[in-house]
Amino acid sequence: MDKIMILKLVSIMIFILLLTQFSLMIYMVISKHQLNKREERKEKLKAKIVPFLDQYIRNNEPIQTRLLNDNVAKKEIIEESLNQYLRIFNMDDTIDRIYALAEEVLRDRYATLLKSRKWSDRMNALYFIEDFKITSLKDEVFAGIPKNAPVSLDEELKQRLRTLASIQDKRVLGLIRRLNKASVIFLKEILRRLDQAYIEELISSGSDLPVPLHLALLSVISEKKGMENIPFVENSLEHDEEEVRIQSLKALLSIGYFPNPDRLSHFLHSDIWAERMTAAKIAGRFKLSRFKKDLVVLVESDKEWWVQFAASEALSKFTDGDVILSYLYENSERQNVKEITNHWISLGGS
Amino acid sequence: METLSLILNWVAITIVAYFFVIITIYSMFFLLALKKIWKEKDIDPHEPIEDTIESVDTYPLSIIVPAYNEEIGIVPTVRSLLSIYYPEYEIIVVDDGSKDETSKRMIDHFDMVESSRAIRNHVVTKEIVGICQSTTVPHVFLVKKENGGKADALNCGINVSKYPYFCAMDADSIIERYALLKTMKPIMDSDGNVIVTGGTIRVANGCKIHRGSIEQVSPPKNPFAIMQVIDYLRAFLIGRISMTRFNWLLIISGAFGIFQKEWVIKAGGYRTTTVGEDMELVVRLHRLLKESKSKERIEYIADPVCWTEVPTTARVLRKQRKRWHQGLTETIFYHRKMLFRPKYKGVGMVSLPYYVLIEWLGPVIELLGYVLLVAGLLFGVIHLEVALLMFAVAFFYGTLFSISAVLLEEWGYKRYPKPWHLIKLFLWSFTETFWYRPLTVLWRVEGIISAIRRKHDWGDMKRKGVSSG
Repeated sequence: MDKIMILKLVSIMIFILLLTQFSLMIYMVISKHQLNKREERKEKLKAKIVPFLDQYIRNNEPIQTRLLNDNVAKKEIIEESLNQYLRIFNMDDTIDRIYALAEEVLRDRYATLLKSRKWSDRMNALYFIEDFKITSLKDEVFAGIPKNAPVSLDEELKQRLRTLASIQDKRVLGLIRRLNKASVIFLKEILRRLDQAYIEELISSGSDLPVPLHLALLSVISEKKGMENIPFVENSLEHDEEEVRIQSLKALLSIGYFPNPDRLSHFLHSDIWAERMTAAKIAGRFKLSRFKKDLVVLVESDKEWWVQFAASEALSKFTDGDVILSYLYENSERQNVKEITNHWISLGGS
Repeated sequence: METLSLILNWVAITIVAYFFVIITIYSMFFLLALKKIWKEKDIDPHEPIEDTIESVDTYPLSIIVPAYNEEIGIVPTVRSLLSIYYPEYEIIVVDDGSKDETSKRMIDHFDMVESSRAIRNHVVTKEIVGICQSTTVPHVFLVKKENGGKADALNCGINVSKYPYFCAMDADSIIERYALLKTMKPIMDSDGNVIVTGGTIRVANGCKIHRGSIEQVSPPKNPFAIMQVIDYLRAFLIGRISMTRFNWLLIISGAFGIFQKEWVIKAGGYRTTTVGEDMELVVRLHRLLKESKSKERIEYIADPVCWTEVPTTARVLRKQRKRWHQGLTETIFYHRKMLFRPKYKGVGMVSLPYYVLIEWLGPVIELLGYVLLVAGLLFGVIHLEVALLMFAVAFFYGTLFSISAVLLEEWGYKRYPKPWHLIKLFLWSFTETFWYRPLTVLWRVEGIISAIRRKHDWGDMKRKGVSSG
């Protein structure tokens, strides 16, 4: 290749690069300008629409939904505004009005978006169907779940299940029972959305619950602090899986009811440190003085820092806890025992 | 003379070929990043994290802020951290033996008193002088310790922290209010199988800041700062997005990352003998994961943003870039046995070699190219067409990916609100090849030399305080 050829090649290369880049710049700048203009127009439109929405939401004054139906920008404004109202209001009748308006004005938009090829369109539709409880779209939401699913959980499938749970579609119960690999956190998100009747149905459906679902159920029961599921929690104390037993102990600790304190001794001497730690917390929470000696042993000699810490905290709950902790502080030769007991002494007891 | 000229011309052509390889790799990275950003670009920013804002399941978090001579920035940083949306967290400022009033400012501003908090000695550190707790905001703590460097301060923070996850944050950064929730979400979604996550670092210079949060985003006026805006966009939006897809990510920025404490302790904490402690820890975690045949992942998420003040003078930028490249050199040296070992899968076979051959060696080759170009033209030892080809490749390489990164930012995130912001970033990108790139290349090569001579320091960037704007 001679010099002139190379010079030409290099010049063309640089020219194409510059041209492409300047074209991209011009395209971006024009797009940005148009986007900003669109946002400005939307803001102006919003200023016109929101007073009507406000009157309808706050005072139930009739609103001509026909006026709100005619373009995408208006629907976006209604979507944003209703979503904001949902964050502010918590009165039933106001929320019902928000749901009703969303159903009337936004339903078709979401039905279309659910069929979109763009992932973000479908996801946004699922989020808002959930927020506005558009129950009439449950079949459309369910239709997106593969028939043999759920085997693996991608973001969209998860959101479909969340949305179905939020609009109380019973089919979600069958789906989550088949989710062996779902995370406990995700299953809790589903269970929290479901009515209590569905939770009862899951509990009574048999003892062969998948472990993650069992853990999620125990967790949700402990959050609700209801006494009605105590027998289920108590039975779970004998489960083969240690995680289930530990979660049952935590649930009882949270509910604040331990039906048979004698069973605690077994857990205070367990080989599993998390069981010892939770049992120590229970002994302190219910001030079970018969276990004080066990707690002292745990503070003095347990290999696990967290168990020592929990046992020390438990002792601090007793009326004579400070005296016991001070004794341990003064007489122990282990540095961590001194630090932990000092921590709880300085915080003050019961 | 003719033989020398022939050799030099071949060297020059080899350099050009090397840069064609890099351009190809970066193009693949760009396409991968584009695919991801395109998919997620219109998703509602708040809906995916709505559940986590008040959920009891959101893992509680200890935010560790190592500080050395940060008297100007420390209080605004902590105040900014107090305004984030996160259900349960504690802030631990670790004063690494500052010579200024870092501790005093914290104690005075947050009404702090001595605390007898129990500490676990997971990692050996320099001695703690005292721990204070705020009486007005009880989840704010100050740990005063003997000077031991940033890594030692972070290790100390790990020992003091009480929650199972910690976030390492620089003392002069501002985190967006939802950023920690967004960064924690992949960890929660994976049920703990993601053990480290990091977000994006962006340049705060030029932005309007009010009460510890970014009120208006705008590119800086200072040429060094504006080039770093582009630099950061390129590194995060092209490099890290594509690396994370295959679990090949080797860096989570020291300025903003969430770590599962248990794994960091298993790995032995931050290494105190390197200036690149953030990268070194991530590589060590990968090594540990692969050696223990664990399936856990390390992920980068582009959306959560932490804004940081960047150097505005050549002197400070030079120090920073030297330190970064020294850190890279040290990390590669410590973990050289992972290179090309199938046992370490993608990390050993692809990402670490990539860091050695492209990120580490790149500046050396590029510097050689610049020297050849100038010397060759001055003394006529390389052909004009070869020189031109080299210049074209350098220009192509320098601007193409910078501009692509600006494009990705605008398509995906639209953080810069005005059209002229984009024009400014675009136009500055074109100048990169002529001044910024040669300078940073030179400083990075100096970093390699420093690694050989093993110089350590915290870096002495003159802070103006990001919240003073």
